[in-house]
Amino acid sequence: MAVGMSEHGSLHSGLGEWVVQRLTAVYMFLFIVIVLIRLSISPVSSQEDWLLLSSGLLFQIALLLFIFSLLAHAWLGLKSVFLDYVHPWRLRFLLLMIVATLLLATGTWALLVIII
Amino acid sequence: MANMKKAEPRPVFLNLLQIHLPRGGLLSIAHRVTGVLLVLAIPLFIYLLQLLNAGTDGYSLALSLLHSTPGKILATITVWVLIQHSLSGIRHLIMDMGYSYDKNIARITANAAFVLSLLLIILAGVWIWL
Repeated sequence: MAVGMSEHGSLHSGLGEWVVQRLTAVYMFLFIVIVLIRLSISPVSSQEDWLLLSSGLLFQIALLLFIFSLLAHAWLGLKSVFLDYVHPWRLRFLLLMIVATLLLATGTWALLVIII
Repeated sequence: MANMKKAEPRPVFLNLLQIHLPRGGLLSIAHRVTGVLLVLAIPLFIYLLQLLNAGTDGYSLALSLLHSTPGKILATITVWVLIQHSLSGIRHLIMDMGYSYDKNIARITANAAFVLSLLLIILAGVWIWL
């Protein structure tokens, strides 16, 4: 084992997080590209157009999946920024808890906005 | 690990004004900075969705916000940050696939990410402002 590596724990979640960060990135990119293509084929130029688009079940699911991907991606990204720059562990823990709460609250907000 | 000698403290040099980063390093920093900025845009995005879904009044408020000058400026900045983050992200994926470990390719793709984001934000800017 290389010098400085811990034996168990932190390193084990690394690959999973690495994969999640990339899968969410690819999904969000595809979602944005498909939405842009859809908007350039038939632009949303009135509220009726928007209601027609936004009330579709497929669109709602894809949009919610986009937002959940965004929140997961943001969580992993911010976590690695904090791991690099915030070294006092109490402060890091506090910051991560604040971020987690805000992101979960944002996800709940999005769920309420899109479904209701 | 038990009989390992304690390592000499390594020199630390972190003067950001004097460190000369390779272009890829600069792009890596740009990826982080834009990523943190995009997190700040998430609540704005959800708020916009909320307005769009909040009846006729909400919909027209959303449109007038988007069409106001501050709204357009904010939209332009957000789209630029998103474009820059996406391009450095795509370069990340290319690096992951093992293509860009060649120093020249690494530099070329890093430059391409910067130049392309400028070109794309000009296109997006035309779309936002005209």
